[in-house]
Amino acid sequence: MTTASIQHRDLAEDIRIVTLSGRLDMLGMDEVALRFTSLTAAVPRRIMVDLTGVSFLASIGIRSIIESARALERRGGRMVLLLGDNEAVKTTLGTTGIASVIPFAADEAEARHLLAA
Amino acid sequence: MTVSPSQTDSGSRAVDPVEFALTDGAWAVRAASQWLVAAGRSLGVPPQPLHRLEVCLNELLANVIEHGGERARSLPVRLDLRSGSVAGPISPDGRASRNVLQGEATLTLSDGGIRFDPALHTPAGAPARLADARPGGLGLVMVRQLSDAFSHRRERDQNVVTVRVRWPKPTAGLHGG
Repeated sequence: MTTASIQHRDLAEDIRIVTLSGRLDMLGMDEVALRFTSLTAAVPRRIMVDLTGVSFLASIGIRSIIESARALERRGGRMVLLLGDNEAVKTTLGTTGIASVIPFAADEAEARHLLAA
Repeated sequence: MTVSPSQTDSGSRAVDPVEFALTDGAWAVRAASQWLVAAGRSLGVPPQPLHRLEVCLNELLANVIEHGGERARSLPVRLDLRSGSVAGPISPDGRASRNVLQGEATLTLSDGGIRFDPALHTPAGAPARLADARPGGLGLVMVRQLSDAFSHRRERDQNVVTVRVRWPKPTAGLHGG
């Protein structure tokens, strides 16, 4: 049973959008964590992580995002989280204080703007 | 998953407690989560507070699996959910002065792991730089932030953790302060 999924597309030479969907709990992260780490560690160094289709986000998913963002930063890259109107994910992420270090964007245009800053 | 609620002596509504073996790890957490959502819906807990409670349950079970030791993983975890009404300030931070009737859901989780009192856990503040962000320890921070009350007691060699979430009831408020 697949409960989480991951896809990606490259928007430009150095901008990649990685889309996570479904339940990012322990089971869901078992399914997508390795692929997520690998996609965010590849050549494009500006990564937009689209969480608009995530129905449930546990700390194990947030840990994975933080670890990838830190690795990206060490390589001179940057990550932005695209949340859209996903209030459940916004509420969960809001408890952790990570908005101060990984910016949130409401839409793709804002995410591009933040990645270019 | 079908769960049938019943009325308790104290006037609250409850569902039959369930037990989950954590030997299945992530699958057990998922099954517990599915039970909670079905039970919460049957008790009339609205989606937003039910989601907060579901995140808390996931984090607490992950904590038991990760830190509870072999005994915690070999003994079943017991879950109990009930709902009722309380009078109190409408906002979780207590800023509202007028008392109103609130809905309340209480989840009690009992595990046989090593003694663990979340009150002794000091949550890290928000990081100023990404390099300072601590990937670990987020689970309890999330439970504290998403619940309206969170307590621990040690009973019969078990950790008994209680998490409460509240929400404004759409009925007329009580007169007060």
